[in-house]
Amino acid sequence: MNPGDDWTRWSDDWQRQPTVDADRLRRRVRRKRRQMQAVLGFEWCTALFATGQVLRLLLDPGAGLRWKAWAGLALLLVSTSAYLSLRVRRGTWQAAADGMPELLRLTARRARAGIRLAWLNIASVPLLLAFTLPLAAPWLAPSRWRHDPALEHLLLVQVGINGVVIVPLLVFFAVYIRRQRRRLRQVEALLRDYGE
Amino acid sequence: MREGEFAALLHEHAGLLSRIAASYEADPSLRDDLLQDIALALWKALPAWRGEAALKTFVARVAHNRGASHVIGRTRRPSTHGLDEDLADPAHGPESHAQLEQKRLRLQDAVRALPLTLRQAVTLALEGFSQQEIAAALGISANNVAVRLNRARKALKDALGESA
Repeated sequence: MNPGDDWTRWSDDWQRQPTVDADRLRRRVRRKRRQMQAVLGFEWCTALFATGQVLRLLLDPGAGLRWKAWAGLALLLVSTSAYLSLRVRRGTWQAAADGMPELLRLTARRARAGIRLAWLNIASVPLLLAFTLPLAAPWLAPSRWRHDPALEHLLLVQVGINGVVIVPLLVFFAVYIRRQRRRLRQVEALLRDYGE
Repeated sequence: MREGEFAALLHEHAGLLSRIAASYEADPSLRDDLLQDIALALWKALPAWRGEAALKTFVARVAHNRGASHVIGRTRRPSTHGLDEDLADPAHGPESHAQLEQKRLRLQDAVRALPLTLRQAVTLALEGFSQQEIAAALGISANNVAVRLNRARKALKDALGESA
């Protein structure tokens, strides 16, 4: 049988597949677009709020030099993190219209940027602790909080919240890095395949 | 892009999109999510379409790119349909509905089991795209497409038990 016959026969079988309900699909896309806009809005509001708080601390005449230095560092971390997140997402939608090799190269770049962003997030935890703990040292001394129930309560709440948030976040970033590395290996193999 | 134009585009290419999504995902609910992602990518990418390729080629390219992103990085192998022996009903002749359905599912599974670089060319060939159109959709040369289709044809014949 000649190759053309095979393709024609398979094509007939292939095209008998069920087709999606286009109206339902359009409604789902509209809902998803709204969700994405809401998430983006939330991210911007959170970033603006955090930046506003840090700027307020920086400009507060009552804040000491050490707290201002802390605020400066936090601002630097927030900006670097925002820049890297933008880099990770850059070109995501335009790439949908590129050829496969271009898409794969972009996927590899995004995976590398994602890994860097995850490492920055992981590194920011000990970095922030290294700056925050010496600043808060006077309030952390047992002699201070043992006799101050309000401070003791505040510190317990802080440890509780940070423990609940930070540990799962670190686990999440570790898993994310592993997944991105796997993705990177697969993309590089595909790029070699496409380069044939 | 206006909602109406997008709706018309989805209606026109619903079959193509469904079949491309099916070549990447066997699980019906995950396939539904993939179709949603593909349609969303189309909504975002369409303003960039300048008519340098036919709209159908552009749609196929976006769908394949989204499908490839869906499978890249995944460790599990694509699942296949369990072919239901009860589907075969010889009482209704050799080309009964059940048998046609089995043939279709077997072909779908065989296509899904192909390596990504072959699968993409095959799905477009099965949609009736020419080698030049496949090359334009995937961003590779027409020669490259010919080599892939030749390899894929052999692999499909083996998988479908037609190589003898």
